[in-house]
Amino acid sequence: MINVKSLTVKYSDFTALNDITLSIPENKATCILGPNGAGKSTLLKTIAKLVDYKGCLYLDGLEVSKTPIKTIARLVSYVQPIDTREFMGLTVRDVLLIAQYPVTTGFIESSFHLERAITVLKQLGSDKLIHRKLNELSSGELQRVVLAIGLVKNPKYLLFDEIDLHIDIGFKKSLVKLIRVWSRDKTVVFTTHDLVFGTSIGDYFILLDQGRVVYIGESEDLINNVELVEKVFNAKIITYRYGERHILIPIYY
Amino acid sequence: MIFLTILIALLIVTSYISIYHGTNNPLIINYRLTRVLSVILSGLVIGFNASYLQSCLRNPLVDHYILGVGSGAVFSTYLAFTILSTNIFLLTSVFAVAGGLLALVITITVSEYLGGSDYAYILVGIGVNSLFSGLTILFSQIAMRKLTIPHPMLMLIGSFINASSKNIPYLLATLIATIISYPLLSKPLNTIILGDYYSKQLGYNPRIARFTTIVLAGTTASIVVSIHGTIGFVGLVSPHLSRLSMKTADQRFVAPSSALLSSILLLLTDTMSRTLLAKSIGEIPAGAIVSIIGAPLFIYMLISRFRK
Repeated sequence: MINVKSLTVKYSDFTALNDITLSIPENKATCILGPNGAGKSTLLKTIAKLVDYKGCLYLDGLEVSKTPIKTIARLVSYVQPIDTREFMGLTVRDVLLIAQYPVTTGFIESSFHLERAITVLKQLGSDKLIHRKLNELSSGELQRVVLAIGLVKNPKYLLFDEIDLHIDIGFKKSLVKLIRVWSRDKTVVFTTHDLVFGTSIGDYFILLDQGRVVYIGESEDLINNVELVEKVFNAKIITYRYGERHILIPIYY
Repeated sequence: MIFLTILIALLIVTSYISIYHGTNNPLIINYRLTRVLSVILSGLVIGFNASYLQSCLRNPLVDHYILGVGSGAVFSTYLAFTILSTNIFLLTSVFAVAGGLLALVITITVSEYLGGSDYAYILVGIGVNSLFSGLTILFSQIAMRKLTIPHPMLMLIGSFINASSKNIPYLLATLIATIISYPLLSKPLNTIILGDYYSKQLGYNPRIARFTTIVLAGTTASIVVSIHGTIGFVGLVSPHLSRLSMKTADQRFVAPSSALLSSILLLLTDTMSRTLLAKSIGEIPAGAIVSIIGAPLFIYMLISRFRK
């Protein structure tokens, strides 16, 4: 359970999050929507103790600012597209062992951790990549490895920041299924600019605009508030019912 | 692991040949022993350092020489000779460390200001190196009138001619400091390669790790340089060759292998330096031979990166 109370985050003189209060339910997929600069990434980074904040932020009852970084590292994975192409010749095997540091003891990982890495890669259909170098991967392949980095330490909270970048439609489809599976026993919070992707996964929605919470609620409820979404994004949005799900689709003309 | 064992075996064989080849005069053997020990210790420290610096700056094209630590330390050693009019090692080494760290900070700050690309580091390094090399020559002219000190060119290029048993404890101390840091720094350095956000998420503070690495590498390299001079390119090539041969970039394996490899390479070049042409034109400084072999390798690395 993530509880946020009058949370404010400032970058020098810009207020990214302005006095927000919300709670994010356990073992569900929560989708954060909002236009550029709404504070979506900042909210995820704050939960992962990557930026400083004012106010209260509780993760499983732990006040994040007072909890050591090692403890947070075991609980939370914040996954964002990697911004560099310089990996010093690191291989996929190397990074997936590195990504397990918070849950390993001792100086060198055991074979158990290598197996764990391979299992996670298999789940993402990318176990062929294990011996490849990171700088030789395509953006889409790198994106899968980045997901594996987040998953491999088996955290309770998975925070995905625009992970649907650089990936093809086929993998996006499998990602929708995978996130729904992960959210059965993990709390998944993700941001996206793709409304179709977001509404295909989310059980719970948070709509942010200019650092404030505009809407918070369940999937069915969001459908009744489409005007609000349209207003925030300044775009025409239609709803589509597919099976049991309501999907929001933006219309670009 | 197998690779590390092979390297250790190679190092032992090379040292044995280098010490005992062609003589059984105890005096010569004793001198060679001191010299080989100096080379091995310096090589290990340089190799460790370079591997740390490369990971920490996420740049495979740097070592203490490119980053200006070498010339900064040599300059301040000569500055100490000039101002203090003494060549007591403890005093000059304090100057050397200060100068080496100053040069390192200048190179890193300016390069980061220019965007922090690998090429920015190389170009800024050239500038810093030229500045401090020039200043070294300037101060050496003054200092050499008062004191018997090594010729500045010997220090700028690096040589083991002046190997002496009284310097061994200092070299050993820098190696011990480096080895103590190894279990503490190699994991955080691995996470830094993925970026600061990932480093924090894996439970490390990237700023602390980076600061510690820079201070440690700068200090230990400066001490080695103040004794045997700048030895370029060995540090640049060793981590690269280690990563290639072990097919991993994990610091826990690359750092020790780079240290051993740099030691072997340096021992080979130093042995060459005192045997090749020794009869006809005298001893060539080891640093010169390292440059002759290392610089083309460095250019090759530049080209292969540029073509990617």
